Amino acid sequence: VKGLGARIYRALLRLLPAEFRDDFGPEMTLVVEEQRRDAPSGGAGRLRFWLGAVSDLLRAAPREHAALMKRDVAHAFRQLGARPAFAASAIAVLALGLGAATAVYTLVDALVLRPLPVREPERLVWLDKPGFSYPIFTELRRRLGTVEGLFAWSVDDRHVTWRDTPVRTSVLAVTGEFHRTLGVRAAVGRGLGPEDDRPGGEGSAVAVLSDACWRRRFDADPGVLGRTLRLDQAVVTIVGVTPPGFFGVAPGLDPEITVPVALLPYLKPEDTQLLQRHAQAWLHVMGRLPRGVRREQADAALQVAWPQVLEAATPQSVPADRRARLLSRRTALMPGGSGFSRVRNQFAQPVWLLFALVTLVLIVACGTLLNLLLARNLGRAREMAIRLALGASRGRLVRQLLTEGLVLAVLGAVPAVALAWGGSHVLTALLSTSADRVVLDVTPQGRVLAFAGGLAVLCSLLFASVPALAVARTDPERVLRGARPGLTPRRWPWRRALVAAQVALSLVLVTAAAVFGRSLRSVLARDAGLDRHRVLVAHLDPAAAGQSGPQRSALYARVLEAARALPGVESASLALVPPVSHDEGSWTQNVGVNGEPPLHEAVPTYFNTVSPGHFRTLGTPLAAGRDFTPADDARAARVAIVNAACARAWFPAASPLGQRLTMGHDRSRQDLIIVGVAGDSAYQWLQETPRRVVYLPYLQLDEAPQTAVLSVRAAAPGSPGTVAPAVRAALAAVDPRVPARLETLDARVAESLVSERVLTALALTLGAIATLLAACGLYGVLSGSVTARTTEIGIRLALGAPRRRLLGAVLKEGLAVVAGGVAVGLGVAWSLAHLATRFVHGLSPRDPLATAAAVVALVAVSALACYVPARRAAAVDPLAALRHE
Amino acid sequence: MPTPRADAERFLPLTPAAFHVLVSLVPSEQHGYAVLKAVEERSDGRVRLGAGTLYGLIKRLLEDGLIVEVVPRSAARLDDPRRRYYRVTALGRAVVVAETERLEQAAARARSAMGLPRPEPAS
Repeated sequence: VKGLGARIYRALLRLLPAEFRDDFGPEMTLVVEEQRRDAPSGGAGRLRFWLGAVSDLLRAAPREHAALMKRDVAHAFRQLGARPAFAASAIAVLALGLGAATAVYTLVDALVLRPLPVREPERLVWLDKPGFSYPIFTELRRRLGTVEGLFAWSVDDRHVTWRDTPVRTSVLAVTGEFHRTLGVRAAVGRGLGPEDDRPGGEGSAVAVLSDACWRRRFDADPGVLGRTLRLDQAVVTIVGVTPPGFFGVAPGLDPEITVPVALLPYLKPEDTQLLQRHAQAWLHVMGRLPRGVRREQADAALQVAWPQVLEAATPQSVPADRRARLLSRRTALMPGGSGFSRVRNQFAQPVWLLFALVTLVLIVACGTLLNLLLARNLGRAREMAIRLALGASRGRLVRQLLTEGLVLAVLGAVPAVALAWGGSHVLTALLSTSADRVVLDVTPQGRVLAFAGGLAVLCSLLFASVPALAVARTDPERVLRGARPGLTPRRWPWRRALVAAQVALSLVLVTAAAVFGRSLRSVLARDAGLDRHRVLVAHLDPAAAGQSGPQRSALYARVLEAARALPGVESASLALVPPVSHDEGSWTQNVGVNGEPPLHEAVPTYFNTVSPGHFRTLGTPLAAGRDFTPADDARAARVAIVNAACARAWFPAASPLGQRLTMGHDRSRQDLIIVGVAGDSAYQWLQETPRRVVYLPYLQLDEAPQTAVLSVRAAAPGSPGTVAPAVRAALAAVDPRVPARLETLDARVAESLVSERVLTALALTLGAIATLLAACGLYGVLSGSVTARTTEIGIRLALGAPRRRLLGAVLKEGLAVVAGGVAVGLGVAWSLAHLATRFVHGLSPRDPLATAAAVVALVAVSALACYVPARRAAAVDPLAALRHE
Repeated sequence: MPTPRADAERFLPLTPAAFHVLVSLVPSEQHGYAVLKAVEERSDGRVRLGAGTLYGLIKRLLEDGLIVEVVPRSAARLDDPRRRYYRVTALGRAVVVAETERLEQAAARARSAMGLPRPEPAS
């Protein structure tokens, strides 16, 4: 046929499966020619004819492909069923690799990638760097026209009285636009609105429950509206419940209650001025970009408005240098589609690192699978050659092999998703600590399933394409003549390189595990200036029970007295900032030394206020001078104890004792005399480098602190837990209404190392899996090599070669592969080491000892994997081997 | 060993297109284009097959053993080297018979259900 229509039709025939096209293509063309001849002539008729023919072809092509696919899939299942051992191991390897990768990806997704479950999350923005005062927020709201529905929020643990018991509960405080800006409608009752913003007390004494809280604490009772709750010092009325799945704007946190920011001044007596304090940085600010406005444009507007905002929000009465510093703050609009999260900031980096490690495992698993498939394909070479000889096209066989890979991938992906589901739950649990529960929704969702599926398809195509290419190059005549394809030496370097690569990647993982493990050990072994096995800490919150300053002062004195009187207690003390405080508090202030006014310094000075006996209780040595005594009270001269880091920085030559420190300006200015030097101890994290810390006697504070930490030193080492019931009872006897939370210092220390512990545990697990897989690969290659050379080995033995030399030869062959892998692995580990710097303390991430340990472990396991086939080679019976030939 | 009849039942019900193609191959062996025209005539122009659909059907009927290609072709028909001829097998004939009976039964049940008179036997 001639003409455009015929040309198009012939071209479109290529859409059909090759086999079908070869069988019926010419005949179809003939039929179409005949139809064309008999069709009505004329332009319109011809056009209609060709449109009909082409649309028929376009419908037939997918049908034929599907039919072929169905046959190939059935064939693939038969093939797998015929070799159940191969099928099981391939699926297990795939499930392990994909499962681990998907589990970690689930975490990455939930923590970092997933958009907030709110309306149009891509238009949300937040202001960097979080920590704004309420006056700054109100000025922003007034002056920043380019961002809609600006709101401020803050999450805090507060005491909510459920069924008569005050329980520490995560509470979200928001300004009125919160629910409206996010587009969240209450499932029951109403959300919060601008009418709740009035800091008048009455209107703002309302609370919205989260769905989980509503179900757990109220059995999803719709009559919950109008009921009241005691929240610290206030009584709030429940006005609504948020829809399921909504957790606010901070992934990882799941606050149970949402209240207006305007309510906060009524919760604790100390917070009455909270909304007026211009320098208290406690709020996050978010908003929504108007439709059609880019973030860059809105940011430009923010940069213009920002200096005016600061100017307006900072009173003129603030001293000039402090004012200058406050006015020098910067901000920027950040994309807020996935919210803002402390949990994310804390864990995003370790989770990405984990993701990198798990990718290595996945690659190793793919390598193992590829090796399995290559080995199996050697066994199938004859089948392929026969089918080629019988006229099957190479394309057809390649397609068949790719389908088999795909079937395998799907079979592996199903258990992988189940594994990932369990694994991601375990991971979230590992990240949580008693004080900080990490709540992440890790149920497999569309994106995670797509990731697992995509990865499975990618892997399958990757590992099915190699045997497929081998088939495409098969020479059927040679195979059928008896040459063993694939066992020709030419084919072997491939599999060896693959195993070497697996060894290399395993070494990277094992090295990571060894470095993390050693770092963890070194941190745990570190003295940290604390006797952590002997101390119990109790967090007291009398302010939540509504106690005033003088009441608290009396309470603390009674608590100390009661604790010290307990049997099994060696000493007890109070402090404002708990030892190893994590995020539970730090106090920094500017200090002037030797009569200079307090100036801002690049290295911050941390403070704590403590009772007499603090250093003895915690086991921090006093290097010089004296401890505070009960005589260091409000009437006595103001004194301070500095730690060794301060002494080194401020008084490198002289003794700090008797020297003067200055805090505050003008009327609030205080001069302190240094009476003691304490050893360095961990202030916030166990792994930190020693900070400058100044201790003040708590009896010299203007007002007793709102909260305090009671530290109790057990008389016997290792037994702080055993005095806990007695301490709890003593606290209840003093005042049962004061909420108290007890934990051992050991537990605090352990929690200080969550990322490190999780990384170590997981790197170890992943390293073990990868090493196992690599060892299997090594075993497979050597075993195959020995089988292929049975005849040669038999001849050598018959010619008198000693068995020991054969054993050595095979071992050498295997260890050569291992050596190559180790060399490459060392290089990779070396160049990637900097990624782990943040999580390695006290040693280099390229620690030679850890690296050496990893190499030894890997070589030992590999040698074992080589030894088994080597022994088999040495045990070959020369007669049997030669007869076989 | 299944009876031919039971064997034929496996293929029921046929799609209308497959039924028409099989029926048109019953009287004598035919080539593709002839089948197309026969199907169109037999169905009063209601079933019009395109070449792609036709050869998809032929491929499946061949695989199922309901039709076979006629080789060698008789000399008189050596018109175009691309042309191939097909005829029904014994199994294919049994399937046509079984499908015809099935359709008749279905039609009869529908008639009695709706109280329609039995049709005049076809002349």
